[in-house]
Amino acid sequence: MKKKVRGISLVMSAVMMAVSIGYFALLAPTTAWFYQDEEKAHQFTFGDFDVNQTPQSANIIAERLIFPAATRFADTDEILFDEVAHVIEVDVENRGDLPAKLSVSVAGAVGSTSYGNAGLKWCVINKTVSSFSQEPSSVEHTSQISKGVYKSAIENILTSEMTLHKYGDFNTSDISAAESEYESYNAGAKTILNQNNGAPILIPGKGAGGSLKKVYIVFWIEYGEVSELLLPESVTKLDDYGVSIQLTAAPNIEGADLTITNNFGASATVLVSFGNTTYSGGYTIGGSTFIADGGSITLAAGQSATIHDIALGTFYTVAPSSGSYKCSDAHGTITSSGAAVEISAT
Amino acid sequence: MKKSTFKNILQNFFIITSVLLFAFVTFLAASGAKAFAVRTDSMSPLFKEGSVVFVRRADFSDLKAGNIVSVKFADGSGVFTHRITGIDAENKTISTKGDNNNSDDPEQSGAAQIIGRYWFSLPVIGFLSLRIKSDAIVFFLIAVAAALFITRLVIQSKNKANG
Repeated sequence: MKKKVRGISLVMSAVMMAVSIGYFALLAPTTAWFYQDEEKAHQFTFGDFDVNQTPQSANIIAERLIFPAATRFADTDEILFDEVAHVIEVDVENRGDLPAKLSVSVAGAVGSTSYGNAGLKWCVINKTVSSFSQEPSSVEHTSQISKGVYKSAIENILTSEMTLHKYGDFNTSDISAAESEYESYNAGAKTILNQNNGAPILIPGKGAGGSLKKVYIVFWIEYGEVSELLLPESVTKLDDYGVSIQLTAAPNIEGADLTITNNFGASATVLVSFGNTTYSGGYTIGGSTFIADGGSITLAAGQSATIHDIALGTFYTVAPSSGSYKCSDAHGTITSSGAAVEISAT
Repeated sequence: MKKSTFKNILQNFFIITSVLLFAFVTFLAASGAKAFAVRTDSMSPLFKEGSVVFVRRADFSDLKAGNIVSVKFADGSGVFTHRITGIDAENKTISTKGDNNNSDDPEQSGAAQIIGRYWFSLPVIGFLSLRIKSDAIVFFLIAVAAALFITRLVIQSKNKANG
């Protein structure tokens, strides 16, 4: 009898143990904000952002950006989700004599609806960052880099002489303040920046020896719109998230002629047409700054320039000489053969 | 120690453990608590990946900033368990943040998404569900139960045969 009771007890205990183990073994997971499910975790396609090229405009770069996963810019320890930054490298050559202002805008493609809001962020950097060449082995595209690496690179830039273009200015002397500003930027209205936002990038004229510049347009995703993209069918959402990158040279004095080549092989030529447009702010040729139309500039040795005083409607040329120079009305090329020359309107 | 005594001790231990564990699980189920296996360290160090968190239902009006809650994603794709950083009583929404994250979660959550308020957590045991596929576990448990049942039958019939 005793044996029978013990036997029944053991069986009952085994059943109770099995039920208890089953309770804990079948628990649902609680995750971070952006996980989907375990099976998809390693092949997580956050969303494909198609960068479309509009045929009518040759200066729009089109490319497809695939983000394997995404997380906040500041979070770099989620191992599965750090391959997020897309870097589009653009070579810009100014074959003209005068500097051009390059503006970068990211606009919604034709047909996009609610795109442009939370999720995609971008900024433009025109300083070479060697760590951009690092790539995690799992990425599909050579332009994808580890966000952790990217963040380090950005931090390095922020603490040195960087030019980070977005709307507003960063405090580059204090990395934590810069990060705070960046966080504010990321947390702010997530609209696509238009051409009027962000400081233009100066591309010196060929005479200044710095006409070829590398410009990096960096895309990444912050979570916020994640939930809409947490679908294995996210590829079908391409049309909703198309963007176009537009590079234009700001209206400039005649002579700017930019060729823009991105690292995907697409190229475009932008001819800056001479227009009756004034521009404000500084322009630099070899370190000297235009004061204003009709004002004075100083060219460095070897530089050539053509200047149109739009306000006065006259052209100026300068012949090298010593002292100050009186400008003629002829439209021509100014070349300095030696010492810097100064041009003044008369 | 006699072999039979050692065997009895083991069996007694197994019986007691099973009963206690089952009682604990029954208590949890009866209390209405929900349990989740923690998959990330967003709430570290309070509870880490592999822990199990237990939450109980709470009225929205009883929730306070600082409470930890389990919340369904708006699209129903999963659950996250984070700390409340702000409550909008008028709109009945909450802001949340993982203790180990740098800032608030990107979206507020509505009252209907809140599953429950944190009760307590247990470490490590959550790995059971996180690491092993659920169908494998079910198959294993059924196999164990079947083996025990068959063993019992065989022993019973043996005893009967021996008189």
